[in-house]
Amino acid sequence: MLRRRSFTAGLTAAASLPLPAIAQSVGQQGRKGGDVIVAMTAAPPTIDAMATTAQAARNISMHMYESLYTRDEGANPQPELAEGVDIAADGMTYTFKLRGGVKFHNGKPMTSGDAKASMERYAKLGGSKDALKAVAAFETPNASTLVLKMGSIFPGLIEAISSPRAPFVIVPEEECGKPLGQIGNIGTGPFQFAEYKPDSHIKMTRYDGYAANKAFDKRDGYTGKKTPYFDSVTIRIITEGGARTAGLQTGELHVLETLDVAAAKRLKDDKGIKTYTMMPWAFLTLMMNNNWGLTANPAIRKAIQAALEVEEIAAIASDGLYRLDPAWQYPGTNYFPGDAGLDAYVKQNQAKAKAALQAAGYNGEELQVICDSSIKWHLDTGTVAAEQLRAAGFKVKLNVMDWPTVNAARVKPEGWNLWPLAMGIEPYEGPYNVVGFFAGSAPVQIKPDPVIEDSNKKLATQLKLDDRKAAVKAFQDRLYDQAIAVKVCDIGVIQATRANVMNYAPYRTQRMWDCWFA
Amino acid sequence: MRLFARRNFLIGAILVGLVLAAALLAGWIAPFDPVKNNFRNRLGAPDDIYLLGTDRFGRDVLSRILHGAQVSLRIGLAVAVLSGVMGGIIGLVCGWWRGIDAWLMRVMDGLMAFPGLLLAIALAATLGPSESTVMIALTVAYTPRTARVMRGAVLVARAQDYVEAARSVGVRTARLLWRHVVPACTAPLVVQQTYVFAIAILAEAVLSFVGVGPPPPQPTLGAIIADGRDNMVEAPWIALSPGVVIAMLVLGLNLLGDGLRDALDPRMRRIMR
Repeated sequence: MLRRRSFTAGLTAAASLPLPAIAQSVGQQGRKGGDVIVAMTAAPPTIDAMATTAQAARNISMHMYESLYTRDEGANPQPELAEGVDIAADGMTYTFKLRGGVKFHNGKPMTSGDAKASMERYAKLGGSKDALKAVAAFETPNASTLVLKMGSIFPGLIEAISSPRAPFVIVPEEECGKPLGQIGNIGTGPFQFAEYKPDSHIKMTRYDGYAANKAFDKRDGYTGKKTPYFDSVTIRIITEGGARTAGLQTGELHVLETLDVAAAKRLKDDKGIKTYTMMPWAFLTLMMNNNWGLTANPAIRKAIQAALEVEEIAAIASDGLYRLDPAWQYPGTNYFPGDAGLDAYVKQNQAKAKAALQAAGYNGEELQVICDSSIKWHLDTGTVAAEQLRAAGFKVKLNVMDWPTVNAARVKPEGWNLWPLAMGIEPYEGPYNVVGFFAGSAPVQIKPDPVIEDSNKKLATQLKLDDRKAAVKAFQDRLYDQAIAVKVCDIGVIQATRANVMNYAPYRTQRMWDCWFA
Repeated sequence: MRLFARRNFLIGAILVGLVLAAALLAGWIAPFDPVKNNFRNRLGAPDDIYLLGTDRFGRDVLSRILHGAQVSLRIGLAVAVLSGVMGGIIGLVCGWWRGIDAWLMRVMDGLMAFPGLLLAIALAATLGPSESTVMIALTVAYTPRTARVMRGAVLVARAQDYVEAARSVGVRTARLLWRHVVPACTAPLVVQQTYVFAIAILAEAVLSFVGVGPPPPQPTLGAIIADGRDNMVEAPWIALSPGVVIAMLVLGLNLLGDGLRDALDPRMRRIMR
């Protein structure tokens, strides 16, 4: 007989990520009504939630759709449309019991048939469809049970399908045959689709038939007991930061996806505005090409590591909104590998860098830094790092390009040495996409590393959490030991609302449930 | 110097001279390294150490402006000279050899159909950001205008009696062009190129502002303004100071051009008398 364990139970005991506290005003009474206007910074490529990994799409889809599992306030997986999951001791069967009484926006009750069809559609065209590669079959023994039969072990399945990156949303079965981008916008979330004007706005209205999850007593990350109060949510696409700030000041906008740090400092005494710091938001990193040119040499990479003053990069790139954290998982999360002994790596030591350069026989070859001008974090990191490396004796060429060009260049095995990158969603998701970024068929450092490959394999096959944590530790140790990449810091963002938006709490995207107008 | 008796030329010369002198002496008079970061002194207000304050990298704004003006002037001068030479030759050829004129000027018209700045942005974005790219992009963008001015001047010159007389006595074309036609066209060409110089400085600032100018951390006036854009309220000195320098430079070059035109145009000379 198979021994079963509950995934949920193990995780609720886990320490949570020090994300902003859950709304404190539990005692406050919500008030229905109003059209809340949210400004986001970019247009989504599509609003087909499964199909895109764009942050802009998540801003919308997390209001309209729900998944079997999603993430809580601490970024840990928690059930949403499922009551829980039983995982067979051999890791080859996952049995999800679905919540009862859940209806889609079209009034149809959600069943396991919908869940199966949605997962099958995701496996074909989903933005993170590789997560379902290990699944051999989806079975529906009854209307409220979905069983995933695995073809091979994948202990990260729940982490993967609970990720909001390209969410594994459940939609009506009859919608699942529709091609990419042509699906009806029907989910089970607290708000339902009303109108979409590309490049302008999307409007959603409150779904009064929403079945809140009674297993929770309050909102919790993307899950929890959600209550929609606003009559409608209008998300406007406003790319210019100054226009967003001005809109918030005048009251034309009620919630901002992000507020520039400088503007937040300026507006801190404005009684009409509330600002919220979201820390951590992303890893700020400098990736290195271990395959080509100077950075193919570990001694040079170590010299680069020693030459960088990460606090200067962090302070400038983040406008002061950073925390020095050398670990490659956030402190407080399930897989945090610790940061003991890393000070020696992250402390700037120009003398050590110069000596290492001399020992490596450096004779003035140019270090090629590629970075994009679209994301300030990247450009500033590249600019400051280049100056620090010049000061240490490197000859540096900073190649500033647009984001698509940089993204195309950085996958090439040659032609670049350093690439600044803010990793947003990956560290939030946990270790799989962080370690996976350095492993597999296209590792970010170009040259595969045997220790990292082994860590990645163990993460994907070890059933015990402690073994997987050990794999993450080995991965982190290897990154520092071989100077494969540089972790600069954790960076944050600032979200903002008008003062009359009550009970708002910042998160990876704006959540317009459980908040209301005063 | 009769030129300096003209007020607008004198004001222009003073403005341009000031910026030129500051830019040329940047290596000696700039108080700090223009690319040296100091995150402990970010967005510092002007004081007795940092006369124009610091930017968000903690870099001295005055030093960056002095070095940035050098880059702007270098680009402006290069564009003025290169487009003057290329446009001058094309205009000369089109104005003199009427058979070539028809198709070569259509090519120029085609290029002029694109807004100059848009064409330069497209070229600079395609070629990748660097100082030489900006020079090439702006030269391509502004050569057609110079060619058109030069062609007009050549058409006028070739109809002059002294040119006809030289042709009738069998002076060879090359000598005729060099000795009689080109000198007659120099004045409008020089005036035109002072405007190109000014426009190129503005255009370089625009290219740098939109991110296709010389790459960071190289200071240029446009890039300094772009750097200061996000901090206009809390640190207005970052964007305003290079803006004032650009205004001085462009105003000065335009006044110089006006003064030159007044001095070199015989009709204007008569009016001035």
